[in-house]
Amino acid sequence: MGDCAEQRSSAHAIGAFLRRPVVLLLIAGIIARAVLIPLATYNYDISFWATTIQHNQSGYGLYGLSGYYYTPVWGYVLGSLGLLANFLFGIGSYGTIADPLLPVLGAEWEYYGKMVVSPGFSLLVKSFLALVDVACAYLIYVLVKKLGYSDGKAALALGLWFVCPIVIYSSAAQATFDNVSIMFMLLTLVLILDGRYMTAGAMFCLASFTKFFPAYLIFIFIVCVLRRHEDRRAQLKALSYAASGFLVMAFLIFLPQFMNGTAAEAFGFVVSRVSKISVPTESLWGIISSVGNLIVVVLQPLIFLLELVIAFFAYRLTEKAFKDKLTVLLLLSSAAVFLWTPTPTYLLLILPFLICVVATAETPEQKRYILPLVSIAVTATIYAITMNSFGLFFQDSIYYGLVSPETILNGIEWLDAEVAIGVTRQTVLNIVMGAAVSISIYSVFLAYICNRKKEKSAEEGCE
Amino acid sequence: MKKNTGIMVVVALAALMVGIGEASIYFVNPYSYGSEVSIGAYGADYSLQASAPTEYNVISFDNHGVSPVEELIVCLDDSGYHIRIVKELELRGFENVVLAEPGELLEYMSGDVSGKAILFPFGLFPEEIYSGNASDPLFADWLDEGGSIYWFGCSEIPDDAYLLPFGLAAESFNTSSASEAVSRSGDICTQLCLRSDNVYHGLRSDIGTPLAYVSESGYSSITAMKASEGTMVFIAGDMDDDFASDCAQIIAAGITYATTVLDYSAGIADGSTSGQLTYSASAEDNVTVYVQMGGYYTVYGQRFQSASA
Repeated sequence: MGDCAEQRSSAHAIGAFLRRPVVLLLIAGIIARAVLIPLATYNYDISFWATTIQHNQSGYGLYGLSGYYYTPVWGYVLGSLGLLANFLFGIGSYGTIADPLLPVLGAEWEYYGKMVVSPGFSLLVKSFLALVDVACAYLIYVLVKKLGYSDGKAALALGLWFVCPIVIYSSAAQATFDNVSIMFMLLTLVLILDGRYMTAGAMFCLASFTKFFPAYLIFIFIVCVLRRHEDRRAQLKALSYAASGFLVMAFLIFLPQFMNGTAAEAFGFVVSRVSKISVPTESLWGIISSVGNLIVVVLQPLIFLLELVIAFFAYRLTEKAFKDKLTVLLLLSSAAVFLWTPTPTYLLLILPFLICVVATAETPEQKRYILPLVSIAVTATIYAITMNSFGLFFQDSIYYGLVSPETILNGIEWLDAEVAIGVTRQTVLNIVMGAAVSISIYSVFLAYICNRKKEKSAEEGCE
Repeated sequence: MKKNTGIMVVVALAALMVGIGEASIYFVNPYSYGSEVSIGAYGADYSLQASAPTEYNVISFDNHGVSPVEELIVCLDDSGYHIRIVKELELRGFENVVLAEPGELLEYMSGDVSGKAILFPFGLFPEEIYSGNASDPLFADWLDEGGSIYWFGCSEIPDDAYLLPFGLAAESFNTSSASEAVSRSGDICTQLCLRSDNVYHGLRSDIGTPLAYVSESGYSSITAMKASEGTMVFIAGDMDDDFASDCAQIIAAGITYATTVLDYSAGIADGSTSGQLTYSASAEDNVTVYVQMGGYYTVYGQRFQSASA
């Protein structure tokens, strides 16, 4: 009888555990990734990761042969993944050219690509990125706790990140590495709050040289460091530690490029984006992209100014106000980076802070940010699916035979059809969803402005 | 300190991932590849070494008496594109490359030029070499003597008079940059894992031998044709990574206008792998065997040839 009672008690405990909201969210996130990882692979980006590993294997490093256009950190991560692929999992083939799908090269939309990566390779890369999602979820939990909120709110934030559609899609379908940069960015912030400035500086270096976007948050991060100390000397000492951590890590990251004389190639991504402004093109989307790249460049001074203003405002707040408003300030700083319409996966920069604001919201004003969160999560995911479209099924068709090439080609033909002279359905969908994403980003500022107006009215009412 | 353990574990794991990757790429590269081929009367025996499982293709070619390229002279220009091609050639075991300014080319265009090729980047040929006459050095000293040319073409197609000595006209080239559906041209494209699909500036596919991809509109991304006594290879596209890689692959494999595939073998090499290709005795004197590893992501290449190939 004692054993039966114990078993019933254990089963009840397990059931209660599994019914907890955060556990349900985690299970949902795991199931979503488990389905997407093998069945939906956008080959365009991941085939470049295969090329990078190929170059590493051939002994030419990241920049000896043309094909890797980012700063080195992601390339080094790919180096480790290449070791796993070759020596642990024995993945002998990274991909092939899909002959039945070669007709897609005639579409106006240039981003289907002809390479289809092998299931083993995509499984490895996307599984790694899913683990990074788990690490980011944990860091968001820790961040919310360090900001003084309860276990429940921290768990909610963890869960919201883990089931956020664009987070799942980025790692499990599109295989982009934005979450790696976010992981380093979150580590930076958590370590600052812990007073570990040298390590924080090193992590900020890794974040900025994985993808540049976290670098925009340098001013608000500096304010976070300064606000932890009242004494000027202590502030300078803290910043010195952070700067030295950054510089040491930068030296270690770029040492091979200094030795090989390929440091300029390490920043090829920036140069290639700027140079695309003037590349002649015959397609409407090509023209839109070219104008878009120009807008990105033109907006940089304004973005820089906004980051400074937000940081200055943060620095002048009282201690209590700074602590209460920190997550919103981080949210505004990250949202300000995207005054232009970004590739959807870039929006992972905003999401940790937006999720923190929503998860810790207690007043109706704070809960106003739920709308931007839902809006960004949904529009970014749809935008990504719109651009990737039938390209997600190339691997299913070539390696698994689950989708016929004719279905894919017919779908792409439909998207490639013109609805007006020079305007395809694909272009229309891209424009509509791009606009929706931009409106979602601006809704963050809108929510802040509405809340500020209400605050001011309340203050004036009190007076 | 317990509250920091989880964070420091994440920091350590992330730093380890980055550090091990960096070390394996730049300081302690664990990857190695090698091959040996013995070419006989009726076949070729091959032995491959790979430090980890890697796709391989071993292909035997018959060059039908036409000498494959042994030395490449690269005509320099301002683009620096040649650097990509030279490195891709090095990866494939082809290191006999000479870099020459346009004014220096004439010095190399004398003596026995069989087995030699000049690679011209994008644009018209240097005037010292060719200005539109069949008596210019490009023909008299080079193509007529069995030398070969690799040419990346022009954005503005030359007039018919300029192209006449090659047996071509302006209308032989594709002038549309619109994206086009393509298909493979044949065995060479498949076995060499060629990737260049852009037919902009490409030659009509009914001229010469298409080596890579052919568009529905009838243009070829890479074409080899007989030009006087030598081989002329036309490379389309816009000097991107795929074309650099494929140009190197074709040169390293010893492809000429007359090359045909005799036999091939493909699989996964892991540690030591060996096998055999077969062909008729009549092909023995003209056989070239090319080993490549990595499939469409080439990590190794090496050419072997029979003594008289």
